[in-house]
Amino acid sequence: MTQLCRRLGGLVLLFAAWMLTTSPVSAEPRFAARTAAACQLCHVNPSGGGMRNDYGRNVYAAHVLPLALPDARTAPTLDLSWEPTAGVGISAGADVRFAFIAVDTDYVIDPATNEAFRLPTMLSFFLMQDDVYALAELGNELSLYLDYGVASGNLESFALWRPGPADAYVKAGLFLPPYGLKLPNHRTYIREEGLGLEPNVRDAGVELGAFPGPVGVSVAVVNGLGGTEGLNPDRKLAVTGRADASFGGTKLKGTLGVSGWFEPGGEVVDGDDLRTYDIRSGFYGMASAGRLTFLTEWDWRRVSDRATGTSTDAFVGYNELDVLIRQGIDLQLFFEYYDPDIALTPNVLMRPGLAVSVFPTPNVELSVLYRHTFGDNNCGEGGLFGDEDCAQADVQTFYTGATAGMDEAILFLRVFL
Amino acid sequence: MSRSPTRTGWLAPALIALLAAPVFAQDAEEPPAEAPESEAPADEAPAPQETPPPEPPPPAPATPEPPALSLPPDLPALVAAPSDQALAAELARGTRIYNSKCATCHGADGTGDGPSARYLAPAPRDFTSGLFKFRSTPSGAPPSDDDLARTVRQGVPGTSMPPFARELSDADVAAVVATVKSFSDRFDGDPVEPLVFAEDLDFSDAAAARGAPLFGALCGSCHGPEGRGDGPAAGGMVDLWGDPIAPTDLTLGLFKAGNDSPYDLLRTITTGIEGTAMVPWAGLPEQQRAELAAYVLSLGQGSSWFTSWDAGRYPARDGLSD
Repeated sequence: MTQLCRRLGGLVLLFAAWMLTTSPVSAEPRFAARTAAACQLCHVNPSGGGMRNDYGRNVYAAHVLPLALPDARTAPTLDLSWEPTAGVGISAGADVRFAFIAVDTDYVIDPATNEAFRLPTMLSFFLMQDDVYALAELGNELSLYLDYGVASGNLESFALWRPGPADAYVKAGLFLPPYGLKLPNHRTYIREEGLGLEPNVRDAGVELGAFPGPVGVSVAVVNGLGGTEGLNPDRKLAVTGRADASFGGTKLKGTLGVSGWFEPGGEVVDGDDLRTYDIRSGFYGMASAGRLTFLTEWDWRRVSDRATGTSTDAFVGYNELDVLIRQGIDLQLFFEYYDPDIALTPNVLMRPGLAVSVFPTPNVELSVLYRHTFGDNNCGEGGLFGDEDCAQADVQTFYTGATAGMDEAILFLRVFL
Repeated sequence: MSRSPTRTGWLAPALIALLAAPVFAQDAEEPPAEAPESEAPADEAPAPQETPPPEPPPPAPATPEPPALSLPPDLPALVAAPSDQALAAELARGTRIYNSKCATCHGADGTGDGPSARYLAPAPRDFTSGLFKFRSTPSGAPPSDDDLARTVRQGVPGTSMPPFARELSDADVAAVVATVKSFSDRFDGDPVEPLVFAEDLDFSDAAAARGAPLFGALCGSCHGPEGRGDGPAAGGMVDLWGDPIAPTDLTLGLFKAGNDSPYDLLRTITTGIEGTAMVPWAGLPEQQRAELAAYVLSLGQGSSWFTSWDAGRYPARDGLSD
């Protein structure tokens, strides 16, 4: 009984640490475009997304994003032993995204028969994300980071070493490989259908990055997608990365970058022919002037089978125009493009969309989204919707807890363990 | 890095002196010529007139002359000042808030090099220098507590310094101010009186019109003839800390010293911005400075909806700032 009480007490302590100083956590490239700063201005992860750091929590999320600024009555300051100079402590956070989705699909292609048929209208609640975060800072240079999706089981877990100059970093563990824009919406063509680099894909490897002046470079060597469980099944590593440069000043600022992915393909293993190789490359850009922000990414992907000598080239694009109606309210216009095989015509899907995002308080984002998919009938791959209307309403609550000092960390461990 | 609060170390002797003052005063003065008023009811009979006056008390033994008191003129304020213990508590409270809200930019030691600092322009203030851009005190003097509190509350528009007015209570702000001051010895001396401006200054459209030629003559070389921050001297500027800066584009209507009142601008025009090329124009007659402020305000009134959202809040990664 005592042991149970201690553990419950530990959980309460941890939960209290999350809740007492809270703020939204979200990977939104449009915010990076507006600031023309690297993702790690606000996020612990240099690649962006996930847990926010002190600036992201206390400055950007609290004062730049929301409609209503935090109130002294609701923003208590914890009496913790955290000493920023020493850089030693633990932090916790959580991230929940919940959506209601309505999808009306006029037809979908049956990959077996290549015939179109109609799907019933879908009305569904959907838990998009329920991540918990933990960060252990072991000094000013070394930290351990954990991002765990409770329902999905997705895991991002790595050690992060930041030696200092030019914000250089080394990341080792399980992480989303660096490529293009890191979008929160895993359904975008550039992430899901086109490249298979949706946000919940993790891969094991090592990533190096640096941000000398206006330039940012990240390069990773990973097992290759699917290699998250120990050995890479095709026994070949993949190399991926991106590089960008920022420009501009007060009136116009932006970033232009290129991405690349090369996975050489492996051998015949246990009868499975894994000799396909996979090349992806593309460019991305962000620009912001006044209340307008524009994001774009265009990628090309070639998947080749050495055995047969055949290859497929795909082309995929993403464009987003954001209008800041006023602080806390964003109007977003999207246009996506996906050609899964440029050798086939007509074979293109296009998807315009419209969304409104509201940050009523520092802790909550509400958004409604509508998008319509249209294109040609013979899209080739199974599961692609030919003509679809999708409406979605999201409630997102994101929390990053206070950073506790070692005293609290030791107390927590004693109580919990 | 932090200094211990010693500003009220002489408070206890002062308090003792204050409490002792009436005693010394009673001793030093002549005894009252008239008998003390009776506390008896008015309808009671007075004491008979023929009663001889009481004998004067025997002379007191010779005692040393009490030392002449030299009380500080601001003694009442000192009496109201918090004790050392209270100051230490306030400093501890301020340090906690500072570490939570401020250290990521300004650094845990107040040196302006927190982990977020390299992405921000203008660079976060280095508190250890004791130099502050926005003051109501004369050029060369440290800012007042109210100046620092004003910046904490309203932030610095157009920069990454947010307003904490709603998030922090008055006591929190005062504690943060105490912490910020603890980073520099420049606050060790007596506080400097802030400048006081006349309340009946003319900031009207007519005053703005009169300020236009003055602006061209005094400000145009940096801020440009139209106030767009593109004057011939605007290029290549750095501040005292070596960070690149550029004159403010006044047409955006976003003024770092505050947008609430023309007096915010008047204050900056009068005191200058320490560490930058913005010099104090305190030598100008006060009404002329008001006319300059009125004209600068009029420049910002034409800013569009498109550019009005915190334009220049974050410049490019290595870019210039206003």
